[in-house]
Amino acid sequence: MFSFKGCTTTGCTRIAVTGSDHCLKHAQSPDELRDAVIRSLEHHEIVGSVSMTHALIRDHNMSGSRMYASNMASNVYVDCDFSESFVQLSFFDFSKFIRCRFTDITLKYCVFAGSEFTSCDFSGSDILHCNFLGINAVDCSFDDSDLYFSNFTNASLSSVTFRDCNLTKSYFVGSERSEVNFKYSNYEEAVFTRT
Amino acid sequence: MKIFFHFSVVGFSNSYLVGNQDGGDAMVIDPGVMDVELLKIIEENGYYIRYILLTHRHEAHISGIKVIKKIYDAEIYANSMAILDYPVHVISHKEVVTLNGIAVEAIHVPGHSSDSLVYRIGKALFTGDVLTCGFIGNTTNELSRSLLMRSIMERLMPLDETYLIFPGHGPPTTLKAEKLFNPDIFEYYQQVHH
Repeated sequence: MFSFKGCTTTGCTRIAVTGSDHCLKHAQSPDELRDAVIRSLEHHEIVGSVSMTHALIRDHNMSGSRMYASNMASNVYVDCDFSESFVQLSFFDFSKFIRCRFTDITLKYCVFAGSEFTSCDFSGSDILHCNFLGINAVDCSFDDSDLYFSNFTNASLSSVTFRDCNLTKSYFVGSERSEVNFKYSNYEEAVFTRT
Repeated sequence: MKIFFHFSVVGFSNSYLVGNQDGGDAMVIDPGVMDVELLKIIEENGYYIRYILLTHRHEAHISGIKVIKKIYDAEIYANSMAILDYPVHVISHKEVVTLNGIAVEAIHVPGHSSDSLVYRIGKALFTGDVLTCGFIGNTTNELSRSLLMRSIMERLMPLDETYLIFPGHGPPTTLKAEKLFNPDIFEYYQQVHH
C-alpha cells in the first residue's frame, strides 16, 4: 500500500505527494496540493497510502481520522489535533510536532524516530509497537497510555510524564531522562539497559 | 503494492502480507501463526496465498506454514533446502524472483542464523531478525555476532537511507533511523572512526 513513487524532477530524491508527480518543493501549486492531502485526512474515512513529506502543517484538526500505510515523514506539525484518530503502519519519522494533541489516539506500528515533540499530549492513548528511536521530547505527556512494545531507545526526554502507563516490553535503552515521571506505571516490565 | 501487517502471539513475531493493489496471488512473509485474524486480512482483501517467503527457519517465523498449506496451494521460498518437510525454492544472495509481478530480491545476511535472508521489495526491506527497531539479531557467539555485524554493514547499510524496514519482531523502522539511533550500529561506527 505504500507509494514509493519518487518526484519526477531530475535529481530530486524526495517522494511524490499523493495525487502528483512531484514533491511539494517541485509542485506547481504546493499549497493547494498540501491542503488537498490534509482535507482527505479530515474526512474521517479510512485513508491509505498517503504520501506527503517536508510540509508545514499548521493549525489543522485531523481528530477522528483513520490512516493506514502512509508516509508523512519529515513534516512540521504545529497546533494540530490528531485526537481520537486511528493510525496504523504509518511513518512520521524526522518530523517536528509543536503543541499537537494526540489524546485518545490509537497508534499501531507507527514510526516517529528522530522526531522532535514540544508540548504534545498523548494521554489516554493506545500506542502499540511504535518506534520513538532518538526522539527529542520536551514537556509532553503519555499519561494513562498503553505503550506495549514501543521503543524509546536513545531518546532524549525532558519533563515527560508516563503516569499510569502499561510499559510492558517498552524500551528506554540509552535514553536521557530529565524530570521523567513513571508514577503508577509498571516500569519494572520496561527495558532500560542492554543485556 | 499493498503491505499488511500481522502480529503473531507465537513468539511475538510479525508477519506480512504483500500483494498487488487489486488482490490476486499474494505472498506472506514469515507466517509465525495462521489465525482467523490473518485469514480475514487475506480473504477480505481478495488475496490468495501463492507464495510463502521465509527470512529464516526459526519457529516463530514458520509455525503458520502447516495451516496455510492446508488452505492454499502455496510455494515456499527460503535459503534452506527443506522446511517442515515441505520442498523449498532455494533462493540465494542477490537472486531476484518475480512473484505475480512483484520483484523480490534476496539479500543474504548471515549471523543470526546461517540462512538469514532480507527481502527487498521496492523501497521496503523485510529484515526478519537480522535488523529490528533498535537491535541487531541475537547470536550464539562472538564469531556469529561479528559475521552478522559485518554482513549488515556491507549489505544493508550502503543502501539508500529512505528504505523502510519491516522487521520480524517489534515496530517498523527506517534505515536512516537505525543508522543514527541503533546502539549496535552506532557503536560500530564509533569503533571504525577511532
